[in-house]
Amino acid sequence: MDPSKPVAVKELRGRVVRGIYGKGTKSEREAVFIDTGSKRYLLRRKSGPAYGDRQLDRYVGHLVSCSGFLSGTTLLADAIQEAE
Amino acid sequence: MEDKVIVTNRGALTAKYGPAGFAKIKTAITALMAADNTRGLKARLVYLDDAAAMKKLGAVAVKSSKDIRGAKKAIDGVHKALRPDYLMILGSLDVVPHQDLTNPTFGAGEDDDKFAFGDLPYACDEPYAKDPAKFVGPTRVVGRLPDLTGADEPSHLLRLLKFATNWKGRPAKDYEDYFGITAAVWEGSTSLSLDNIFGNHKTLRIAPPKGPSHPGTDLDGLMQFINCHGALASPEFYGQKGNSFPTSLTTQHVDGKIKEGAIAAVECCFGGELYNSDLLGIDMPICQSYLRQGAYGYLGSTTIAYGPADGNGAADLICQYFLLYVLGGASIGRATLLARQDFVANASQMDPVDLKTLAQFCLYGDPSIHPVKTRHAAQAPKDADASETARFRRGESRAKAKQTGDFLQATKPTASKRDTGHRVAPRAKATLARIAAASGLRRTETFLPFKVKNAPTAPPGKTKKLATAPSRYYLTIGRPKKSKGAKEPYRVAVIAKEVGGRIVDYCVYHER
Repeated sequence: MDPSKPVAVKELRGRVVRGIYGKGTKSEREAVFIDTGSKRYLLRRKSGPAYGDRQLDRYVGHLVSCSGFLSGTTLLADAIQEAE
Repeated sequence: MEDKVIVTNRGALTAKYGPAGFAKIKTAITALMAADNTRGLKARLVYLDDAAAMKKLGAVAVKSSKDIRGAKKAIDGVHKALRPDYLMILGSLDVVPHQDLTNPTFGAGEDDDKFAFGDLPYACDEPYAKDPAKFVGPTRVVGRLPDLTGADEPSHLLRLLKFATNWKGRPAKDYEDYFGITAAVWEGSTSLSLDNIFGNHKTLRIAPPKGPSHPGTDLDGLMQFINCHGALASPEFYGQKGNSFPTSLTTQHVDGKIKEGAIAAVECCFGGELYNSDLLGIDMPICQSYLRQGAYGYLGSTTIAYGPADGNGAADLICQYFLLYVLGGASIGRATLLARQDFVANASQMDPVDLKTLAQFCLYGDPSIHPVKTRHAAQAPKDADASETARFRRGESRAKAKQTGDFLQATKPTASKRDTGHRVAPRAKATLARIAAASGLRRTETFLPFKVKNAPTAPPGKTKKLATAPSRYYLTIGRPKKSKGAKEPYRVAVIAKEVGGRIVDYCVYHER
């Protein structure tokens, strides 16, 4: 993926799960991911903090639909909606 | 002969800003070169996409601003033809791309950076390659003055060019005051770094509780050392205490607080990522905010960075070396070159973490700026041309850097390639299991083997000596077992060294 050009996504569906990001690095932390079945992306709200965003907790375990941008392995979400 | 060469892509700048915007940039570059001339530097602008001009230099023009291999080849051609003392890349990664070095630690734990993007290869004589082990011998003084990725009006770049045009060196005492901030969990490591650079850590801010607002004159220090968390495409850095990660510094909170002439060394993950804030609709990167306010130099990482919690290693070291050379009077470009060379020279071998660190740290700023005024030990006669003397001294310095870089490239053992077909000898396997257990990990933890290139072998003869470098590294990253009632422990990275089928040494890095 071209790092200068994040890719816009609409209604990307997946299940929200908790996991460890950046094991063994300076970025290591418990984080929230969206698992699409074929890929797993770090889930962030564009308007929220990159670390410890408690607003994401309510989606954990749920199937959601997200719109926003994919940048590397991170999904920066403008909108997150529960899909079930 | 040119002392300084500015390289950029005219087509990419025109596509971003239109002919009128490009004309303003061209005027600003002309002013910068005129100012350089009064400082005794003969500067030249080269458009990497100008086929005719590149042909005259014996170089190959780039066909696209996205062509990473082509950009390396073009810059190599320009450097070979003109041999400048300073090479300045003008523009962000959508004008002249970062190089795409593979990340040797990708997949070893959960480091999901496939590439360690950066400008290191532009500072090396080796041709284009993705293997970071090919670039452990940097020889060139290189820096990047970035515009905003994805921008469509040039005011940001014009502002940066103006600061580069009007820069002034200051007495060393002006750079004695520093702003240092650390995530609380890394207080030990950052204190040590500040002690090494400034001889004290008395004003170190610890986050939390410090940040994100830094009142009054807190951010006034012309030297800045930042060791916090960062994230991809984020205008925020974060502190850490336990499982709490409050913001420690943000683009909004530094606005209006950075003094002209500041120099920042930033260890944070993604602290030097030039993300497209326009497209994402978020604040500009912190690094760009620093430059916009007149910071002369910013050393930061494009991707996930590494460092120990208490001692110093990886990102700590390259940042320290950079600031020390700036304090000693080097230009920010030469400080970066020497920091890179010291980082390689001081490592016994370049293990996968070292290679990623070297690849990912980039200098943003005009590399010819000398923030700290110093006196030269040698003296020029009164009738000597000052610019000729300065040129001669730079020539000496670059020749020495070239010797050092070539030596490092030829001799430094590196471990960038996974040794995929390797079967671990039973004896080594048993030792690794014991090391894992001693580190609090499962005995069955999987260690990934890395072949060491350039490792000197033990000399033959009756006096059998052990080799002076390992033939293979083993790397694993895992979380120690939790004892009853204790907090979730931090993860550890274990790197073990093998010689002749036996594990002879190992090191445990604690997570950040």
